[in-house]
Formats: sequence, structure tokens, C-alpha cells
Amino acid sequence: MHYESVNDTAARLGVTVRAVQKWAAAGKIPDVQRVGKQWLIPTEFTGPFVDNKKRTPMPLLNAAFTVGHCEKYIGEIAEHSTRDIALAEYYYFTGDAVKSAQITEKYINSQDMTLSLCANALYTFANISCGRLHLAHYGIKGLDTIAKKAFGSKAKAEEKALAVFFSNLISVLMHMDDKTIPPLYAELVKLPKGLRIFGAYLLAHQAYLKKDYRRALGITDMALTLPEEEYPLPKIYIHLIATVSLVNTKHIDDARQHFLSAIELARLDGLFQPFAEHHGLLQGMIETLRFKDTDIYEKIITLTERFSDNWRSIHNEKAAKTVTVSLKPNEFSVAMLYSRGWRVVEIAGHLELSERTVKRIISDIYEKLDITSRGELNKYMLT
Amino acid sequence: MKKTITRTFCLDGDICDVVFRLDESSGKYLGDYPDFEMNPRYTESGYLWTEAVRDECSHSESAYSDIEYGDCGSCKYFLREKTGDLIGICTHEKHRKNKQ
Repeated sequence: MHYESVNDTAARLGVTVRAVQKWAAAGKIPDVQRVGKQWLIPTEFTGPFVDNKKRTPMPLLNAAFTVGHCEKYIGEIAEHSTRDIALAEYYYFTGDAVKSAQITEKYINSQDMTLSLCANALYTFANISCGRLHLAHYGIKGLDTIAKKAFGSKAKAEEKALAVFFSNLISVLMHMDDKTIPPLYAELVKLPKGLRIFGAYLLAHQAYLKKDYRRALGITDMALTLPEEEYPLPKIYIHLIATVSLVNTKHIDDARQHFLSAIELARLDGLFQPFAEHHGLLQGMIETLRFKDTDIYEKIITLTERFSDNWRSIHNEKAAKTVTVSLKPNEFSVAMLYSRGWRVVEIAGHLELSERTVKRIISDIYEKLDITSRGELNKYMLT
Repeated sequence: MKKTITRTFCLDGDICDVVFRLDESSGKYLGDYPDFEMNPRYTESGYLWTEAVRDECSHSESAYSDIEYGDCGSCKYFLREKTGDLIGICTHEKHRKNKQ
């Protein structure tokens, strides 16, 4: 039997030296030798994971990691492609979309369906943030092609469930109503726990888009109550869609509670991209942070300015050209509220602005968009 | 392009100057409209100047047959100098200042 150093094993497997040392100490490396303080690892050792072919989809989204220890969790993932996807997720959710796209690009054409679905989904959203819309379209198309093969009756149940999950993810988050996609509800039970919670977020979001706020809130209440472990990323999304639904029903105090819960889950690891994704729907909730938590407010607004413009370009090209060029994030928030029938005094109270300031912002919005009424404003706003 | 331009609104014999500032990001001129709620202003005949975006009052009636917008600009009593103006006068008698 041939042996190598811990450093050589780490380099060969694409893991950290610390990870190899931990496996050796935990007895997870067959035939390992200890010489003094050094470990000697058999060169045929390929890693302590049980089944190379069974990968965890979206390992970070699916993880019950301790809040504030996200990077540590990623560093301890043994299998390198799973760790790569987790890292790509981390870069995306913390706003480094360029790095996320770079990592996922390696896997978008992988023969492993789990890997390629995850990679295409992340690649799409990372490229939206980067403004590389042709690459985002490529990711959407890639995911669609892989998923549609898995919808067939010959696909394994788990693969089909994943394909339905990712297809619904793109459809819901891009607000594209694709009736050829099988419904998500029936597949949820086949998904791992973290993705099941995120699936609940997608169902709540679908209900929200149909203006069925009671259903959306029912789903979010159940999703927040049931799991014993904390799944930070899916929970951030659940809190955000609860916030959005409560703002629409004008239960602002309850909305604010959910919003602040999402902030607390995101704060320590810097997972602020979900807030940027929901900026318009949050209708000014982010703006309430501007004096209370200025650092976080500015981070979210920076991410919003990058993401929202490009998202609208894919979602609604015609409106995007006018709205994205003209309206600042705070103007967009006011426009969302005003187009939904909020009165000036209500907007002022919600955003902690004077009524004069709100009227000035609305006048600016009208003049930038060349419109003269709320009805005309609606066609530029999200549903 | 000039950084500011001024337009004179003329309604019912009264004039109101509004400065429009150039917004560089959109390339449009945006008006610094007076706040007529804080500083009410009346024309010679006693009609109240108002902003199109002000919340409707209890006397408002929609100028549109099927839609209620809830602002002065969509009320049938709101009179503009030109279509699209964001300030005008309220011609409802309940808001009219009695002449001495």
C-alpha cells in the first residue's frame, strides 16, 4: 500500500487539510497510519462520503447550518462538487454573483442531473445579477431542457421531484406562468427537508401572485412552525413572502416582525440577496431600515440596483426599459404602494416620510414615466 | 441642457411659477411644486390650488366612469391648465374661499 501526506491528499481530493485531519482522527479513513504527529493517508483513499452518485441538491439552501457559521459549514462538506455548489450558493446569496457564475459554469452541462439542475438555476440568477442576460437565458433554457426530460414516466421519482422543484422555482421567481410545468405540491414530500421548506415558499409565492394572501399566509405559518431544525435560507424566504403578503393586507406591524426576523437570520452571514430579489414586492419595508440599520440598508440597496433592473428586463422587457432607467429603489417602492391604492398619508406613515416628501416622489415618478394617473402607473408595476 | 427651467401656470387669472430641475439620470425636468396643503393658495375667484397627487377629499367624484383612483388628479372638479399637469385648481364650491 502506498501512502501520502495529508497535504497531498487534500490537494488531490480538492478539500481542506483540516478536513482530511478530521476524517483521520474520526476513523473515517481505512488503513490510515499515524507517525508521530503526522497522518499518512493511503493513496487509494477517495473520501469518506458514502455514495458518490447521490448528491445533495442545493446543499446550502437545504442545510440546517448554525446562523453565523455558514462558511464553516461549507468548508466541512467533503465531496468537492457538492462543496462547489454550496460555495456558489454562498457567493450568490451574499451578493458576489460573478464568483457564483464562475463556479456554476463548470457544472451546467454535467451528466449528473442533480448537479446540472442546481448549476443552471444558480447560473441563471447569478447572471441576472451580473447583467449578463443572454447567459441568464441560457441557464433558463438549459434547466428547461433537463427538467422536461425528467418529467417523463421513465424518470426516477426523486429526479422528477427535483426537476419539478427547479422548474417551479424559475417559473415563480421570474413570474412566468408556465402551464406545462407539473404542480409542485405533489412532489414536495419527495424532496429533502430544506428544499421542502423552500418549496413551501414557492407555493406561498404562487398564492401571492394570484392575490390569495390568506393562502400564502397559511402556508408560511405552517412552514415556520413545523421543522425542528433551523434552515436559515428557506426561512429567510418564508419570512419575506409573509412580509409581502401582510403588507398587501395592510397588517404592517406583523409584516415588520417577519421582515426583521428575516434580517436577523441573514445578518451574520451576509445573506442579503433574497431581500434584493423581493425589493419591489416589499413595498418600502427595506426603506424603513435606512436610518435604523444603515449598513444593511445600503448593502441591500446596492444588491437591489444590480438585480432588479436586470430581472425586469427578462420579466417585462417593454416596461423594464422605462422603469429601470428612471426610478430609484425608493421611488419604485413608493410607486408599488401608490399603484396599489395606498393613500399619501398611509405611504408617509409606512415609510416614515413626510406627506410632502411622498407627494414630491410621486410627482417625480409621474414625470419620469410621462404619466398622469395611478391607472397608467399600474402597467409598469409588478403584479 | 439647462439645470433648471421655470414654467408659469396660469389658471383663473392667477399665476404660479414652478421651477423644474434637470434630473440627470432620467434626462427629464422634475417640478419642485409648492405644497398647497401646508400653504393653501387661492385664485382671484377663491378656487383652491391643489396637486394632482393629493389624496381625494370627501367631496371628490371620479372623472373616469369606471375607476376610482383616489387622488385630486382624477377628480372631475380638478382643473388643469394643460393635460398632464400635476398642479391645478379645485373647482368644488365646498373648497372655495368666500370673497370678502
